[in-house]
Amino acid sequence: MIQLIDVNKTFLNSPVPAVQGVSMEVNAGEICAMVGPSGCGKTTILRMINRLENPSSGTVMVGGRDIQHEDPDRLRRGIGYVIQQVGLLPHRTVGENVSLVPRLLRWSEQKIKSRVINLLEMVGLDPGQVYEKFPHQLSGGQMQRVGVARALAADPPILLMDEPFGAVDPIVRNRLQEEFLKLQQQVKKTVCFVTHDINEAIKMGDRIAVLNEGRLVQYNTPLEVLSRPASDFVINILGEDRGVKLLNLTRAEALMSEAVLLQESQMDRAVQVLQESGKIVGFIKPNGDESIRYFTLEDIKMGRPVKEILEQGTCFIDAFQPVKAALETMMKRNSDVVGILRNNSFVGVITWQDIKKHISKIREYENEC
Amino acid sequence: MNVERFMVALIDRSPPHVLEHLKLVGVVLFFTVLIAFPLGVILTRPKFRKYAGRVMFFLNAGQTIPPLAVISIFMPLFGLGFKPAAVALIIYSLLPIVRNTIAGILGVPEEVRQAARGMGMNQWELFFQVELPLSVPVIMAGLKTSSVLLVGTATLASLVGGGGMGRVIFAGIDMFWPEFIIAGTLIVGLIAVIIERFLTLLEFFLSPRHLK
Repeated sequence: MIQLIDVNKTFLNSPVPAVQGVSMEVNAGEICAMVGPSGCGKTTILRMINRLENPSSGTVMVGGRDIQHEDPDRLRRGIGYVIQQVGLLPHRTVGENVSLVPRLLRWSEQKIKSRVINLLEMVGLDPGQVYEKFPHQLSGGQMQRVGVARALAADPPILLMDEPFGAVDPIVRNRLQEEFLKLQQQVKKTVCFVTHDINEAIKMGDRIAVLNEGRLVQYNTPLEVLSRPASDFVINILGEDRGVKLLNLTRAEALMSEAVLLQESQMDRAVQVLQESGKIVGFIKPNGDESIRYFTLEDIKMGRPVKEILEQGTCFIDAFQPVKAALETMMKRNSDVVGILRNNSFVGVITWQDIKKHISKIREYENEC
Repeated sequence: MNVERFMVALIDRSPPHVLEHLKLVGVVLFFTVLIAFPLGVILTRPKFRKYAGRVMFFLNAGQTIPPLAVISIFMPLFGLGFKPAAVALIIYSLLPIVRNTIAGILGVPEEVRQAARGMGMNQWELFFQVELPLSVPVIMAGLKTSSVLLVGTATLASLVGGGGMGRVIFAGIDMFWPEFIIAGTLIVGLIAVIIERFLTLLEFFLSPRHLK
């Protein structure tokens, strides 16, 4: 969808090139997270895709066409653009801001209005509440949402995002990231996402482009970058906890052992029931108690009395959370096992053994080549 | 203080000169805006931005010359009467409007400009839909400063035969009649206040909606 071929950029007033010999391709429907220290050229690359900058040499192709021959304004109307400071027009209402590009494209008023309302809902805002508001009446998080809605307004296939969640507090940032990932599953845009935060890159990117001093150091999936960093620079930028970060890439449900329900009266036959069902986890709902107690085949074999199982505290995480969250919970609760909830009902557990197995699988993968 | 003489100055002598004064101020303001606003806008365009410093230097230098001197300099060129007074006053009034036009447009936050360009606005759309509406308050402030200064300075026009309220005030000075000076000054002040109020009202209507 987006293709850079040996792109170089040197700014007039600077002796060192901002971008040097970068060649990369962003596949349709993927998020490409560009990460690197400030001045590494990531923003410049982004701005060359919508011709806010022109490369000194090399070719930028969008949708198979060399953009050097396209009218910059028309090109930009077909590419969504979100920046850190949002840049909403302060003298226009939220509705007018979102409808900016459709208006430039001369859509009909009716089509614009329904599109704007639709978009505001899509980014989690109440159109009735914010439509007539001015940007200065919004919170930082709301502004950022409006910025995303504005970029999506004319339904462009490509979205360029320059540290879009950089200016909001960590809690809001986390929520905006998750919401954007959910939104992306619906809209399937080709996204270039610039960030200086490696964790954000790992979380958001289908692929990560690591940049340093204008050069593309590594461009691959988060799994590849984390498990096989291309250079010391990449190792450095990934940080000390590279191994732990790998646990962020897998959702808890992938390692989960499914559970089978037992009645309290069945407990003396627990080993048999579990073995028959082929599962190693059972759970019971103690009489007159809404909470759940779970146990593993191991517990029963070692002869832990049912009474003790019923008394033990239990901890849970959601199936969509990463394995790292399971590990975190284990450490916090000093437990070898964590229950997994899907839609708030108990479905299985992850054990310390499962995580260890997962880690050694990663190790094997790392050592493969 | 001679009340009778004060009333003569106020009622008999001033009215025709008030009209002259208003005409002078009106004509000068019209041409000043016609020159200063486009000049300010051009100096903010990327191509010409590098000249902004030099032009501002000359306008600043011009402003430091006493208005009386500016008016006298133009007398040999244009002779006596309305024209030399008007030309001198136009030159003297340019600076605040040019300066504020430049400041207003360059004061539009860079991220707003970047976002607007990134959305695909062309130079004209950017100027008329973003830069101009957002810089109205600053440009209007310049126009107000210039107008109020002008109403006062225009009294000097009478020294080169340009007419206006200067006639009443200088008659008072020549005759040692403080009543004439006071009456003339009061009226000039009143004109300045009225013009300022009027421009404030105009500013309100032109200002971007989020500031209302």
